[in-house]
Amino acid sequence: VSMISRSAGVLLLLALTRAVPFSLLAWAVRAQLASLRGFDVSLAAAALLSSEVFLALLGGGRRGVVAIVFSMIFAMALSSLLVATWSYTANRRFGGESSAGELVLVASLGLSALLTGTIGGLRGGGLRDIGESLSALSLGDSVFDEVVVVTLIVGVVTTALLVAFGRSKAGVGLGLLAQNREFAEELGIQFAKVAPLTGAIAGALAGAAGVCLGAVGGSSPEMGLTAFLYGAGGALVLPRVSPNTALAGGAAFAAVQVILEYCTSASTAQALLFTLILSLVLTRGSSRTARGER
Amino acid sequence: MSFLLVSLALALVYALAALAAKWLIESLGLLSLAHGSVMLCSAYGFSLLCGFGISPFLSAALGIGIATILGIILGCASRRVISQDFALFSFAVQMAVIFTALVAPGPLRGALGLAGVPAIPGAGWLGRSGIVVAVGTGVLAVTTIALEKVRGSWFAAACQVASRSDELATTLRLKPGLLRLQVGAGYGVVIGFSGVLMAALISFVSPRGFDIGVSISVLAICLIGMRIKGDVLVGSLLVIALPELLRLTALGAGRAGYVQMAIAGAVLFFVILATGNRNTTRERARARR
Repeated sequence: VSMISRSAGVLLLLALTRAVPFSLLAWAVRAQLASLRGFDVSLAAAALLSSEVFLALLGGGRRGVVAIVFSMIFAMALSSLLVATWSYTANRRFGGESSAGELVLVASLGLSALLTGTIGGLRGGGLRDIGESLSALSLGDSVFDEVVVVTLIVGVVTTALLVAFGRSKAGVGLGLLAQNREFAEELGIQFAKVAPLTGAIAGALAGAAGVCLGAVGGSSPEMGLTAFLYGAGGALVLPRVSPNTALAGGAAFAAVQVILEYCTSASTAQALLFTLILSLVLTRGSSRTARGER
Repeated sequence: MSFLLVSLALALVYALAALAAKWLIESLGLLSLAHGSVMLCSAYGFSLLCGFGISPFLSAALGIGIATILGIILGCASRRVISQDFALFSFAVQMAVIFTALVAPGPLRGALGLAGVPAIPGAGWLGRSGIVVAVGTGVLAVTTIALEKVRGSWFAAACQVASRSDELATTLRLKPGLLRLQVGAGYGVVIGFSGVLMAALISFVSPRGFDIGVSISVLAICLIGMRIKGDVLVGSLLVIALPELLRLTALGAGRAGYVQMAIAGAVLFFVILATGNRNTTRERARARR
């Protein structure tokens, strides 16, 4: 009984460390999809940037809770600024284009590749992790350092903030945009104002997700793109209605990943997850033929 | 001199892949991010079969055949997923194929990859990279001419109709499914060829050598060819050959790869930002007139 309860506890904590970043990324992907009409890969750049900045700031020996929270806030602010600037630019540049979605995707992919390549060129490839921490939390046979615990607390607080945002005027506007763009337009919701604000929030959330992923599993230059794809997978689990439903989608996706990792190896689980994502995209379908439109 | 020849050969291989990507965009409007995975299929097929003692020509043909199957799958999938959803789908295909290759057991050797891939037969005094330059130039020229011919034919027009509406295509007695299959097969053959050339050039294939960075580079070269005056070869020299020269400096091979990715990313970002949707801009100008 003791062994089973320990295993369950470890699995639950593992699921939580995945559910928080995946949910945040899924929300960010869905929000940007509503605001910019395209899959915004700049969120990958935001996640990578915050993860690298967070780990770099903590690498200098400052390891108190205050230092950790400060590093986290600084990293999130940087990524928020990046995505907000990009969203403002994309909205001004591609706002009226008929193929805005594709243009947003390709240009943001370029931005993400630029940042990934720059970070990789500066620090080289490979994994960088948090290293030794001051104290550790033991649970069963696994040991989680306090960085992980603080990250999880901030993740939960961010999720609570998100729910509060969803009930605010701006949040309701974004929800309307996601559900019916024309109707939102008739109600006077201005895309020019919504895009940078949504971008700032989505960037901060992607940053928080990057911090969580970096603290738990370390960071590599390719981490951002992989994290983005997980976020997109989480956003696609449930039908495209409102960004808040993506939170549940992200959590469900994380649960699937934990189960797969428990049953197989980490790399096999990743391969299966990417197959799941492509199956999701294929099953949903987006062409007129798939939708049965005439 | 030998280093310059290797860089040129690599640029030719990428130019060929970019030509295939351009064909996919121009015929069906499909923006794929799975170029690296299709190249990986043909490169692995070629290397593995050569390792089993099968003749290099037959191995190359079978390797290209495997890539063609993946190309057909991508082409047929475009009947269900279009536009940016297709791009996301192909992104997932790319990652799924790479990670499957990373954990693949047995003769595929997982992350270790396959070493000792033979050169193209008849290399002689040209050497491994010289023969790739010679064959690559020939294939690039033939493919360019063939695509130019197809561009002005009824097939291209039929593909344009099918890419906009399957129903309209069916009304015009076209077969949209067959058209997509043919486009996918053509794409697979050309990009499969570039995968085989890549394996024959570097004599070592591993999943990491065909990651998403390869797809981004191919897309960037293709974009230069489509948006800026010039050809895919110009883009390839800029995105591939130029960063290769960095290997001559103190910068390690790994870091040079990242610099290549950064340049490709910068090209994608700034070119799209500067030119936007050229068709829409043209339409607006026409409407103003």
